[in-house]
Amino acid sequence: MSEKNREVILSRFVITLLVILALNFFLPRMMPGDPFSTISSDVQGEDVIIMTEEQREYYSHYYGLDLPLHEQFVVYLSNLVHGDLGKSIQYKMPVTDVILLHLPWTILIVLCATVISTIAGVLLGTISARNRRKGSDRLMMTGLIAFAEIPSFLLGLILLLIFCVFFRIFPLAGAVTPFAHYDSILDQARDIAYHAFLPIITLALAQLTGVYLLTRNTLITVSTKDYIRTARAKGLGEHIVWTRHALRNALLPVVTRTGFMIGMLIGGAVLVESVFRYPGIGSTLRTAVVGRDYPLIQGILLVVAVSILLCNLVVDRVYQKLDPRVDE
Amino acid sequence: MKKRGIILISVAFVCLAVMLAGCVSEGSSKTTGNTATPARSADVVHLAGGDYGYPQPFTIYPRGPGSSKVTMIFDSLLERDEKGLIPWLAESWTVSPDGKEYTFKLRKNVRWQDGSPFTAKDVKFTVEYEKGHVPISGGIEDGIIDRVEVIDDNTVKFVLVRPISTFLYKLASFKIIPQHIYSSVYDPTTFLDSAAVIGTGPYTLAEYNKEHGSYRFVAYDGFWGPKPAIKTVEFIPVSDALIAFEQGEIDFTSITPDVLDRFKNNPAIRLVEQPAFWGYEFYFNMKKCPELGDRNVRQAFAYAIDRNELVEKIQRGAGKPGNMGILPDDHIWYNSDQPQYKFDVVQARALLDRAGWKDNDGDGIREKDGKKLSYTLSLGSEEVRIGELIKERLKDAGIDIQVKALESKSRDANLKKGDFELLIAGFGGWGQDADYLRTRYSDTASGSASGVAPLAAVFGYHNDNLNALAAKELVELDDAKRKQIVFDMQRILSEDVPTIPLFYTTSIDAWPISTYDEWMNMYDHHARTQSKLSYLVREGLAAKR
Repeated sequence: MSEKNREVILSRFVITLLVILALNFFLPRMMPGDPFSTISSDVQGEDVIIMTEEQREYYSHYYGLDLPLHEQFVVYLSNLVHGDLGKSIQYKMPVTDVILLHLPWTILIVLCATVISTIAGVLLGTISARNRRKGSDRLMMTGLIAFAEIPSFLLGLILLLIFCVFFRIFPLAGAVTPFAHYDSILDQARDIAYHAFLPIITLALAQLTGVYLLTRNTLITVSTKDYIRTARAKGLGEHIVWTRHALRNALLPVVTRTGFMIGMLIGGAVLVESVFRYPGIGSTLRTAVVGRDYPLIQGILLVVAVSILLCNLVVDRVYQKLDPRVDE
Repeated sequence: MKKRGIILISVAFVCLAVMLAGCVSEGSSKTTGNTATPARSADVVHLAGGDYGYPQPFTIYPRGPGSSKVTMIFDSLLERDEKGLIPWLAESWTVSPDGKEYTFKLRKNVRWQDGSPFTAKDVKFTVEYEKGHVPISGGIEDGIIDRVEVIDDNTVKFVLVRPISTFLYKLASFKIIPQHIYSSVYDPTTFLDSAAVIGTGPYTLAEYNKEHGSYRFVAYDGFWGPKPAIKTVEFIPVSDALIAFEQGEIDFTSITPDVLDRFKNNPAIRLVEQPAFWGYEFYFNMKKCPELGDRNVRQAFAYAIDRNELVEKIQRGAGKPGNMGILPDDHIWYNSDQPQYKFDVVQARALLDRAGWKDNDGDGIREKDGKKLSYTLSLGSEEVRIGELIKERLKDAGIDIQVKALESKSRDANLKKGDFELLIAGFGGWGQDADYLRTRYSDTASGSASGVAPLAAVFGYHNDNLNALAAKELVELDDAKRKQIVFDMQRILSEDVPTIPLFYTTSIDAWPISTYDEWMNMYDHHARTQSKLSYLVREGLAAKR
């Protein structure tokens, strides 16, 4: 990669980041309403404290929301340069802390789900491609496509009903046993895994079909290529042809997709998180939007955007490793 | 071929889900035990949790039951039981004849949970501290208290700017905070230390987890008042309260009528209806649509909307139809002697005819001077069904409605700005002190009271008689006389129909009798788990009335 190229990529990165920052800042503030003027409840029976005019002024001033918009933006940018994401209006603590509390839970379930769905998807896709047009291929295809039609929250609810209500082998809600004190790290890990199991499986199942279809279809395309025929002509075993020659080439799009998915899933896990009351960043973002918690919305969106950008960078690198022809 | 497979499999899944749902209800009926003896006390009670903020007055969240968690730890000068206000940190009080001076005798030997004595200085401090640092709930608005004087350690005098009838009621949610801790706290909104939750109340906060939404409150041995009846109260996160209740994870829940049958014949579960203190209000924007300023038109709406149908179809019976006098039937000052507006489309048509609205072009919509009786009804996405039913009924009376669903914050913003024609919003607090008739419907109401959005001026309602009564109500210190004024206000409002309360909701509270059976309602609030006395032995000053 030349010096010039690197500069171009870097400047593109910076411009993208600036655009994201501006959008993150102005879009939430363009939504109707503000953090302090709630009048009605969202659900029946819910209590909402309706602030008096004095309270509203006091808190607007406290959070600097009474300044003109452009000044707020300048304050935001200069704080950001110092690594300060601001203070969450709802949670009364630094946005960074809120994110650090909730993001790891989402990363945990998203990463595990991505690993599981990628491995399972590639495996099933390979089996399917090798048995193309046979019964097992057809069955898998139909089954998995039908499966993909189930929205993730419904899938989560079904799993919740089966495993938590009917068989009672998994907990109903949360990421840890409430008020638990652990004897060892192992105990703690076990408790976390126990609670994370169903959310991970739900997310993994929801993504599985995508990976499966992609692997199967690319493999089928690749398997008609000349070099596969050459490999077979060389007398290589069928197994080696499929794994070393076909699969390796078919993996490129799968890697790209996985990279994108990780970024997307951080926001997309929200439905699963709310089904299992899992304390991830998705449900935090939802609360932030409902409450018009501008600093928190900005913070979370920024983290998500940056992680998508980073994932893309990483994907590019992995791509180069897998396919040396891709240089720039 | 492929498509059919998908459909088949989807159907199979739906069947599976239905079967499983069936299993749930079967399982529950099996848990029916013997008739249990009602438990007057308990070691541990589990309640549905969720994160509502650190339980001190400045850090709870405005949405949800955060302030009731503050109540577990902090005390007020007065408290609320099922009938009205009762003495709490204040043993007794006297009011000067001009209604401007309240002298409170404070309870002796009260200690903060860290052992320091509670004195009149803490009361004075709280008032002064909260002038500079506004709490999320339980604050007293500016312009009410002129000053607070400490007479001695156990006597404190409030001098008010002017007499105000609701002063004692406000004090009942005004939590006293410790001077020796908060005086050095510059910014209480970031005060998340363990010292921040030291109160004089019956419980201490043993554990709080923001991330997981769990709280554990433990009874405080040194509490000055009635003994806590529950040793440990745990709020835990639940995904579905009903399932968690059936599985015994939580010991209290509120249910809707469609699942009532699961518990009806279960002698181990107590089922009690909540008072109807949460409701939906239907607003007319008389500023934007001056023709709605004609009371005949508004009365026609009241006759044409079938409020009983809303209760039956939307609530499946769990509600009470709205009163045009605003206060719900369960309110302590509800006046039953007011026009009832039974569903009567003939009456509605007659009123519109009389007001000059006639359907001349035969399109089913009435018009007058070229203006059609056609409006946009803004509401939250949860309330679309209410809007559709209302639309059908109003159509019969010749009024055309387009339902416009908005996200709740957008709807609130429109309501505040007056940017709507007709609008529905749902909120709680209908059981609170009747002074809200003044703050909600008098367009000359001074200041704004917490808990009510002062909107009359926004939607353009004005009635001199109501304003005069409201002004009298605010300064009338004699409860009997004030009640009479409130009765008169309800009469005026029910004749004027400035807004239409559609219905008040009544969920059914359910709890296992053998775990803990002493849940009670405060006279002004629907949620039993939010009243302090629910957690205390009902004797002495907390005796049942």
